Amino acid sequence: MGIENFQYISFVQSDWIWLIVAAPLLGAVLNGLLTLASIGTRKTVAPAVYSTIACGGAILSFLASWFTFLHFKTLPEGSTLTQDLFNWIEAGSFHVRMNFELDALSITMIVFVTFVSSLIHLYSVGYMKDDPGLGRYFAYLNFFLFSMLVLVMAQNLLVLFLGWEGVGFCSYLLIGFWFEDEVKANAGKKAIIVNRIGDAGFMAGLLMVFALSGTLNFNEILAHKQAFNEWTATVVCLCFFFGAAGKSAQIPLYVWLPDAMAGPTPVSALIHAATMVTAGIYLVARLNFLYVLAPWATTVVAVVGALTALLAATLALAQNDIKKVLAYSTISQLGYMFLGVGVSAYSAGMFHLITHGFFKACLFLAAGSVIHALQGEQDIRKMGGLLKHIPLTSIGFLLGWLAISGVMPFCGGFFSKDEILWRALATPNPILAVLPEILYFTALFTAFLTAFYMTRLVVLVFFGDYRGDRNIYEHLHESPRIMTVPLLLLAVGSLVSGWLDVPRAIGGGQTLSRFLEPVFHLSTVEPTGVSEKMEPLFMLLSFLVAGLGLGSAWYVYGLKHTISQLLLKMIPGGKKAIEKEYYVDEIYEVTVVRWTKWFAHWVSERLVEGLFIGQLVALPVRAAAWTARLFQKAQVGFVRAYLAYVVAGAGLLIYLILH
Amino acid sequence: MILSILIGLPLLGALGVGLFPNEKAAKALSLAVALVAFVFSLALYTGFDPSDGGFQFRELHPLVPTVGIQYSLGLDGISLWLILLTTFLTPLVILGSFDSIRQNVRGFFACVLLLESAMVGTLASTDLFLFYLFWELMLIPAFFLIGLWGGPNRVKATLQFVLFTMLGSLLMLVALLYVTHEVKSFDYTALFEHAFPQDVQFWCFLAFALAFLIKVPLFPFHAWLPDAYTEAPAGGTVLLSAVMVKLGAYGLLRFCIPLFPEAAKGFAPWIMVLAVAGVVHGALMATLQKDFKRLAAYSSFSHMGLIVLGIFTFSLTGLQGGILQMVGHGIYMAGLFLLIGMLYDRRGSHEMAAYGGIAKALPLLSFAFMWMMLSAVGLPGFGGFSGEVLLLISAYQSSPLLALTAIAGFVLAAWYLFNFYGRVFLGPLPREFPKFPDLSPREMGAILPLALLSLWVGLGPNFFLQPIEKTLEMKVIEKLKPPPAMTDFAAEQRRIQEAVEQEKKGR
Repeated sequence: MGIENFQYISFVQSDWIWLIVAAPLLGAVLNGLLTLASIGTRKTVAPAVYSTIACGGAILSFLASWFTFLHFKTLPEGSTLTQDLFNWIEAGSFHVRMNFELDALSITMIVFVTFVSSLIHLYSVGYMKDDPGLGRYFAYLNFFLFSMLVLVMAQNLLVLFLGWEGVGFCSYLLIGFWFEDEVKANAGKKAIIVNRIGDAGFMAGLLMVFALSGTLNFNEILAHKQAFNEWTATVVCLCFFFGAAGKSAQIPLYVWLPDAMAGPTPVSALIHAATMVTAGIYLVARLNFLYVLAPWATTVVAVVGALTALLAATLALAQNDIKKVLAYSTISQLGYMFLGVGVSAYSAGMFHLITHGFFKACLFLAAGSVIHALQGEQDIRKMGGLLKHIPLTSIGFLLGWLAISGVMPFCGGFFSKDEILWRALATPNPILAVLPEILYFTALFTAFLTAFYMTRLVVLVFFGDYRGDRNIYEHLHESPRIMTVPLLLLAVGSLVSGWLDVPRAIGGGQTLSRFLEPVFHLSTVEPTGVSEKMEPLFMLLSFLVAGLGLGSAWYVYGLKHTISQLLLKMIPGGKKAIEKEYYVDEIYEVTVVRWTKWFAHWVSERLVEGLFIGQLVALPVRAAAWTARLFQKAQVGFVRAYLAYVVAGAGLLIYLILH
Repeated sequence: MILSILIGLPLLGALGVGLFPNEKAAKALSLAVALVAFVFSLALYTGFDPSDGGFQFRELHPLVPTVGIQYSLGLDGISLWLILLTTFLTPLVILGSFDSIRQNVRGFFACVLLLESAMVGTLASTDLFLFYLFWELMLIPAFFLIGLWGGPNRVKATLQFVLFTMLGSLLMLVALLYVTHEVKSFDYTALFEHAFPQDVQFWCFLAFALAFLIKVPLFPFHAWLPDAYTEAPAGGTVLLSAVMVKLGAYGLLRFCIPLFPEAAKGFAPWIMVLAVAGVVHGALMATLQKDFKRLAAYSSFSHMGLIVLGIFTFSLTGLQGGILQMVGHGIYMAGLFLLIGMLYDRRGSHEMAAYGGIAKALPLLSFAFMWMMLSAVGLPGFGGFSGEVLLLISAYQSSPLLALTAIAGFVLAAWYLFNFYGRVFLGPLPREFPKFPDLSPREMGAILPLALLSLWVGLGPNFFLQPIEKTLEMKVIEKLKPPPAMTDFAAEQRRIQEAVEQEKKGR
């Protein structure tokens, strides 16, 4: 059965979508070569040159994506744009072509990724302008964009993996961008190694898919869907989810993301909030036709998502580093997205991916601007009352805050989060009947926590009195326009992105869901548990819960500051545990890391290499050496000795012949 | 003629270099010879006919007619890339070693050229006697390279290396004499067409395979490897790890599997298990090393295991992947060991503790190192990945469990390599660290071709895969197919007879 039997997709050849990826690649190569040349010749290149090349690459890519989107809208529903570049690997039964395919899902991703990315490139021009490694920075950033686009445009799993590993590697380079600082270099290392552990799952999934369906091309896997039964699909989906958990920072592999904040703040905004970390959600959404076959796997995805959302939200409650709060918040929001795709509400997951991308990028850029204004200070205990000093930044941050807390209807995260919550409740679980309720209340409680910790952050940073260093206070200044404009554009984005998918229940058009319909139509499980008419009621409930979170945090931190101290003291050890991030790093250190080292030391080095190889395998060699030494000893150098050997030998020969 | 030129030119060059009085001129001459040999070898690619699976560029002259020894050379898909890899790497090794060899300079370059000649000879021989001659000849320059220009523990390393290799070679010699006696010819084609009985296959496979598997080396025959790689001078390590160990894998493909296919099938599960054990064991050992040359040695060993695993799946994907990975592994290992040599030239140490934060001081070298390292990590788009994925795909199809275990090597590679990179290149530069020059143009000249080729193998592997397909199908896969045997027919008849008898009884 070939792909032609699958009528839903009609392929439209396109010969220019490669431009979308080529522009940032060219930018990366040019900036990379310029940097190398400037090192080699010891001449400096003007920062404007690097910036122009990099921003040019990103913006060109955005324009190309936008035109592709416009072109795509003119095509009949269900068609995809494809481009076949070249034959990548072909050996025996294994064929993989380097090819791209844009369906509604990929188009959504590329427009979103290139738009956010262009803004962050512009912001970086201001943020990084005094850094001596500017060329290197922009080369990495452009290369990241290239890899991310390859990831979302890939037509097969191997090309996707090319982008997948590419973004992971760029993330390594950018987290450890200031590599002279050992802590930062180690944070990068941790990210890439933890991601590699996840990639083992990806690789295993890839091998299984090829063994079962004989292809890695998404359309052909879909056409060979019957090659998967429930169990093989479950194993494959769990393997891929393990990979996704690495890239998208879910339990048990989320530990690298909080450390990743060591990178420059625009990088945190672009890679560790808006785009790269969503690759895992994209992967699950891309393979939706496999996940729908595996109820166990989707249940795992949903449960892990909900648990991660809750765990990370509690960790965000008491962090004192502004970027760390946002980092845990990102992990928590990614958990929501996995909850969404885990209950087969793929468009809801994608919707939240986009709204989150806008408001979290906005929050990070604003945080970067705050850090910039405070000359590198990241501790929120040393901030306060910044609203009047850096008004533009503050407005951006506040809009992002409203969006993430979900207290303002029609703004950013409100509908997307609500859609996920409602779908979690309304989608019956075939394995555990009470699971929808558990998931719903976990997510609802997380929404309360989200509003709470974000309000805490806002109050401590922007309201009250300034608590930091006086010297810095004197020089407080708003960031240049190249930074505030992208930031405010993203703030506007977080406001309007909520309109992308207003639910039907309150008379919305569900634009995004309908756009994505052709991709997910086979896998979307229609909600049956709770009637759609009830949705506004749940909306109201989550609005109230979020408002409660916001209000109580405002009360605790804004008005009665002493209560916050009391609250933390209420749970013995709770504050310490949160500050130590539940000792997860320490637990991994004494388990996974130490066990591996133990195994390597005792089994590989001592037992195998020392005893087995050193003693047993080397035995014949030792025997040869020993014999050689014996003969060496026989060469005494006296004629009479040699004569004796001859006589003895001759005697032996005669004896042998006579017998 | 080209194959003879490729063997003879470096041989003459070695003599010339040895006789040259002037060291500087000797260096230039050896580089020139190696470069000319490389240019000649390009004709092998341009003149190669991918649709012909047999030997091309044949040369045939009787050598010792009384016993049937011939000077017989030929090239096919199995040897094509390995010969080109040898001729490509030799000039780079010579260029890379210009300044690192300070004693007995002429001898070193003569040895390198002699080794090139012997390796090409081994790969091009289609007469078993000639093959064995070259195979043993390789050992002489390799012996001197480690023994004379090696590190402090070179004596032990050389002894182990030579004894292990000799042990395997001697067993192979016995088997070789036996099979050539059976067929009454040393000609490879004659042996290829001969079907040996089961028990002969069993013993001869074992003897041949042992020689080759020690060379690869397959776990647990790798005892010689860490010391030999670590103690050899950088150029020597490159030739050992990038080319010489590939000759072990070549021997498996050329002799063990096609000549003794039934035995190969019988041994395959065992060898595959050992290969995976090597992948994991090598990777685990690499995580423990404090000496980074030793780390690279274990890493190289770990990656070779995957190649053997792929070859013994006997699928076209695995075989093609195996040869592709030999090229890829040859390139990135050459790059890594050359760069390690360049670090050693500057700092005089292979201890990670002696370094730290040098990316600040030596940005170009650090960049080059990262580039080559990405191949070893298996980042898609770089040389190590395309082969690796083919090997894993083929391995999964014959044994899912082994393939999944081998993925551990993929994870651990990131662990030990990024840890190593972090310790040596990143972090603060120690205050007392002396000032060293970054890559010189000469050093760049040695690294740049490797860096570009590594990308080529990663992004355009079909260039390398396509020409070898036909040969592998004809010479390996075809031989492994069960013969359309009479035995099957007889069994069928027996079954019919039994059925008839049963029916009779039933009545």
